[in-house]
Amino acid sequence: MIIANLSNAMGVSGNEFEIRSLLYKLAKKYADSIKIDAMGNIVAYKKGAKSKRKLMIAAHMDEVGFVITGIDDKGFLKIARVGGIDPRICVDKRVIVGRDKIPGVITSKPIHLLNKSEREKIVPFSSLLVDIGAKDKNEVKKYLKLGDSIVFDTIFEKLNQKIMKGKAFDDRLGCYIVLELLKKNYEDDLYAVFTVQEEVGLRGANISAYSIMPDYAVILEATGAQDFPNKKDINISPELGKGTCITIKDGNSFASPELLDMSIKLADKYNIPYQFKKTGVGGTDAGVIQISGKGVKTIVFATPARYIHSPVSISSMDDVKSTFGLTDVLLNNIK
Amino acid sequence: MDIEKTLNILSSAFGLSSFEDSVIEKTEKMCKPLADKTYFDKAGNLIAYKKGTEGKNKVIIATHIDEIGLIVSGIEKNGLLRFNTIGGVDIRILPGSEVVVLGEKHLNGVIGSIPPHFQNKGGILKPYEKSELYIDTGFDGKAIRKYVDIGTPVAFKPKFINLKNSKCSNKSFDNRSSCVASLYVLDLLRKYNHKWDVYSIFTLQEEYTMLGGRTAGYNTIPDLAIAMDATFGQQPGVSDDQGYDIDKILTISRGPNLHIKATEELMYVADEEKIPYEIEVSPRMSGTDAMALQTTGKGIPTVLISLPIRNMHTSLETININIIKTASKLVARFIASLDSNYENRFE
Repeated sequence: MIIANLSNAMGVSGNEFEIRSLLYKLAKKYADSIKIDAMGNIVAYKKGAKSKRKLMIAAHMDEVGFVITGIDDKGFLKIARVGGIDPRICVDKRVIVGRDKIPGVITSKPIHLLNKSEREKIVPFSSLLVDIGAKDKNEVKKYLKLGDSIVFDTIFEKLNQKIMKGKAFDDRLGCYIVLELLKKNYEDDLYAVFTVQEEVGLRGANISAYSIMPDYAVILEATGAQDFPNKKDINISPELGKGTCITIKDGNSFASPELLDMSIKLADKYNIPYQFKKTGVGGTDAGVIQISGKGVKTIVFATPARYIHSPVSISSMDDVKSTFGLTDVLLNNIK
Repeated sequence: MDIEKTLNILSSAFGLSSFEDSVIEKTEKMCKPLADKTYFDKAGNLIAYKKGTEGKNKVIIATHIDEIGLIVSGIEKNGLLRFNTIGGVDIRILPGSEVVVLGEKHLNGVIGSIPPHFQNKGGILKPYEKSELYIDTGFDGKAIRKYVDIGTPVAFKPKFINLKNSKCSNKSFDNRSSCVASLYVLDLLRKYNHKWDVYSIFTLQEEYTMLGGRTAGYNTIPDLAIAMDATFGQQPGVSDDQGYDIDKILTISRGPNLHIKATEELMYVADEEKIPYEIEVSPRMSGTDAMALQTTGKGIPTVLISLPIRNMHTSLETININIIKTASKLVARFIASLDSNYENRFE
């Protein structure tokens, strides 16, 4: 199952080796040409029937994770986060370390030895050490180097017919949709882009958009669902299973009014479930693609995912289908 | 007996305090080929009996088989589950963890929390509280009620992994690693000559009420009890003074819960067999089945052997397999050393 393989693959920002080779292999089959640029973005090109305009679709391949910053004398790994990770979701989690995929665990001090004030504090990253079972520092050095990356050890699974759980849904769901779109044929030229380093400052999309200079760009994202039970004061949107999330505004971009108008009309016409992102937080690749070169008209369609940037996210396959469906009709109907 | 395989099976099995059926069933199957008979006492403790050559005296090996975890305390309209804890669980280990909801049908779930960018600033600066967390199985409010009720137990999702140097990690090594040792003792005793009758007792509810430990001794009335449990391994946050080297050392406890002479005998056997151990001082209550056993009936001379593990009471408890083997060997040799007039030495 492609979506499972994409979710399980390792690819912390700046070290996207495994996910990149997987995506390259998968995209190559449907592209007229495919290349990897200087930063590691994959650009797959598919010529259109009329070839008038350049349409770009993009999803980021990188995921949040950790990097080894030190090894203590007893062989425990010191780590720093790559991308936005809340330290509160890191305690007591299994991880995979380095290219050889060494299993490790993030240690936690037993509850019996914690005093009251310790229990009331967040465990800081400086206390989150990874145990791979090594005897000491020298043994660790045989397997690993500083700068090697670490991901959560989470395996993709279906929780029921529609709902799935796994790591890195932000933005492997987007990558999956881009791959699916690449299988289709459009009148305009299609540039399917898998960007790197989104989670550390939207760095990959910047150069990919510049080298393509597209007329329009649709960014396929995953966005944090907020359908939690107890907080009355927060806006319950997006919700799982309620459709793709059309982003009017996020942390660093506004949707192109032209694309926004088209998208809403098309979604209504084709009965594609959609909702609006109401929070406006969180930047996406749209922010940098929009201002690249002479400027690009962009819009973001995001699939809601609960608990993004955590070891395990939950999403609905129905929403993935809605995001795919809306992008597909938009690419066919850009006037 | 393959220790690693047995540990994998037993630590992956489910058995929260007072919900031990599943792990008990698996353990009973493993006991059968090793023991003369297996049975249950009134409290529900599993007992594997192995006859000694003289049969005048009885020794029990008590290992608690229950595990810590969660229990469903409420079901939200949209299907998310509220929970309470069973046994000592640090709430801070929960956000982002995977669990199995042990209802009519076992459902995989995730412990969800409100992401920081949707929380107000004050909330981000402190750990999540239980009221801010819930279990998300992906089922909606209507569907979830088919499988889950208030009171349904929830376990950490098991996944046995091998780390370097014979170390491994999974949930419930406290105290399934001792249960495995107890099984391996029975296996070793097939080769060792032992005079005393041996009762391997897998006790219930240690993590909550200590029901098993309190009843196990009363039903058997042994001349000697050997309790086995987990102790702290050295790790980040646990200094060399607070814990033990998980690769090298098991511990023999000394303190008011433990019988002085019996403990000395145990240490003597360890020295004879060149089994490395450290004395763990338990100046007050040991927090194990040993403290319940000692004051059972007319009183039972009790010793305590502990296996150091890292990350105790988490989903990633970590142990070195070799220590289980060493502990089993010590207990088997100790039992083999017991002779018929042994009880006199405790008076």
